[in-house]
Amino acid sequence: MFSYVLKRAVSAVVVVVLVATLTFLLIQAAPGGLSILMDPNMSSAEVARLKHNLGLDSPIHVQYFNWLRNAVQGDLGASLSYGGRPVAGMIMERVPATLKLGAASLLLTLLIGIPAGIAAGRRPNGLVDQVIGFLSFVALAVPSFWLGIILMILFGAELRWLPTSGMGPKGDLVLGLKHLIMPAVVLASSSAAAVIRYTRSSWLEVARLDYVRTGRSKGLTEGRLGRRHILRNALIPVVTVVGVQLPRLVGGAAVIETLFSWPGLGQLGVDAALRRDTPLILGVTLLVSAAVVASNLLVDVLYPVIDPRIRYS
Amino acid sequence: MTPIQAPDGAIERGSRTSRVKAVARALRRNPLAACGSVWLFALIVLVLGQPYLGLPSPTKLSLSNQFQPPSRQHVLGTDESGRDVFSRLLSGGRVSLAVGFAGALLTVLIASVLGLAAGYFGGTVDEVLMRLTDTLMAIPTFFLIMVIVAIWGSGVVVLVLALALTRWMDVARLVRAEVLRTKDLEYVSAATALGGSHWRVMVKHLLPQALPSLIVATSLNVGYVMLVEAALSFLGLGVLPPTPSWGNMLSDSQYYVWSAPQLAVYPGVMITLTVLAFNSLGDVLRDLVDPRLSS
Repeated sequence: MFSYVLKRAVSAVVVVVLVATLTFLLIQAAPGGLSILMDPNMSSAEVARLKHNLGLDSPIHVQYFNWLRNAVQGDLGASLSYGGRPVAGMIMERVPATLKLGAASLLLTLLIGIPAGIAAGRRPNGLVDQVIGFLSFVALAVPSFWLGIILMILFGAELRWLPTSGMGPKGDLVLGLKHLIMPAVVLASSSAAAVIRYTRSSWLEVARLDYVRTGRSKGLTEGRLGRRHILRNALIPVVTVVGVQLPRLVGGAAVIETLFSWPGLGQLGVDAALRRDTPLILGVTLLVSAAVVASNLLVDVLYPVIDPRIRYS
Repeated sequence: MTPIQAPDGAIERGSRTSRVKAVARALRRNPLAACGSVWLFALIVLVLGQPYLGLPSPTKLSLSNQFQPPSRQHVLGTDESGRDVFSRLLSGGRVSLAVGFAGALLTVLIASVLGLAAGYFGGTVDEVLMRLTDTLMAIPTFFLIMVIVAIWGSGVVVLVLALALTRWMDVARLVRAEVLRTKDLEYVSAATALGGSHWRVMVKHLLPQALPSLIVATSLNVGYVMLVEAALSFLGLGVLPPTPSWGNMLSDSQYYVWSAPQLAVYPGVMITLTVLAFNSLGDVLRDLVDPRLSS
């Protein structure tokens, strides 16, 4: 088991380094070079000095290894557009907000997705199944940020029930929750739809197995059969969906955080992209992909714990 | 179960008319997909015909005509710059659909080439390509696209490239699996024995086997690409004004949510209905190609 986990951990690190390298190369290959060097008011001597200060006059591989060595030590360089602030600090500031939103929407995803999926799976093609199926089908086709705008119009502008921007003042728990509701619901909508579909098909798959029929024939009630015998096995594949949904939650967060002015990593990433702040882009990409790879690793490692039939190999 | 739905894909074996009949029958059974097809057909005719409908210009500014309510001249009223909303919806739709189709087709093209190569050559080629697939699948795609567009500049061409380059992995795996299934069949060995080149065997003998799956993948990917285009244009990183797209129309509308919420409603409804149509059509085609996958 230890060697399996170690192997997976090593390959996860390799993936993160590959992503960092890929992003670095993409930035290097940008047509015309860095935008801050294109200021027409700077003389060529000033440009050269700036280049030297930023370490841009050394060969690419030297720059790359310098960046990588510093990154490993927690130094992601200085931002180009926020007055040279250290990128690592800017990112760490944003982590709590993103974690809060991410946790809330993951919780909503599971709280909506699993019960609705079970309700649909219990009576396939019944009325409940058709309604839930239609709703989840629509949820997968609606652009999440548009759903956000519509909720803003309804609950923000018309009814004035919920605030539409920011996290609210620190310490005020009720107001903080009110700020959290809309972004979390919007972010959870499409991943909840995916979880519904998975739970339903996994439930149907398990429900037609022999042991379920045996249970029924020896007189178990439907409720007990469902709770104790079907659900436990049906939920196992759903764990992987959560792993698959994670990158989508992170990506979706970029748009939703921007829409609701939520001060998280996603908003910082969009900001960095719009300002072409390359050290910041690199830093955010590195952290986000490391987080995703780490959680995928966690799902993989936990899988045999949840389902003892699966062995480490 | 009708004979048309026999496993192994009746679509690829049947004559052209029986294929059309199979699709028509499946659409009759699925009203959502049938409505979707009608919607797509009408939409494509309208967006292509937009220049000939005698509508007001979608890009001409007229600051004295801001936020007009619907009228004879402006069917859906005007936006914050006095431009005709209906006309913009149609020409924006043309851009969004074009990006959707181009992105989906390029995705499938890249996936076919890499999937064919991985399945056919096996060994190191397969190993390298599959590791690359794993790596790309572990990255939050949306972030990667954002990085590419930010660095290489916004615009339709970069957008389509970025979308395809970050999306081909699923389809490539599908093609690879299809190639692995067919490459040891007699007719393929016969083609090789007769001196067919690698290229000829791959394109003429292996690719057609994967074609039905590729059509399904294209249909499902158009919806995905349109959603990502909308999100990126919304952030100002996709299709840039003055070219209208449903995404950047939504982006403009967010500042008038309080005073003119209808401007945010129209493009969103268009995107939702269109993506819904592509997804339901894709599901129907998938069930025809492989009934085992149907839910």
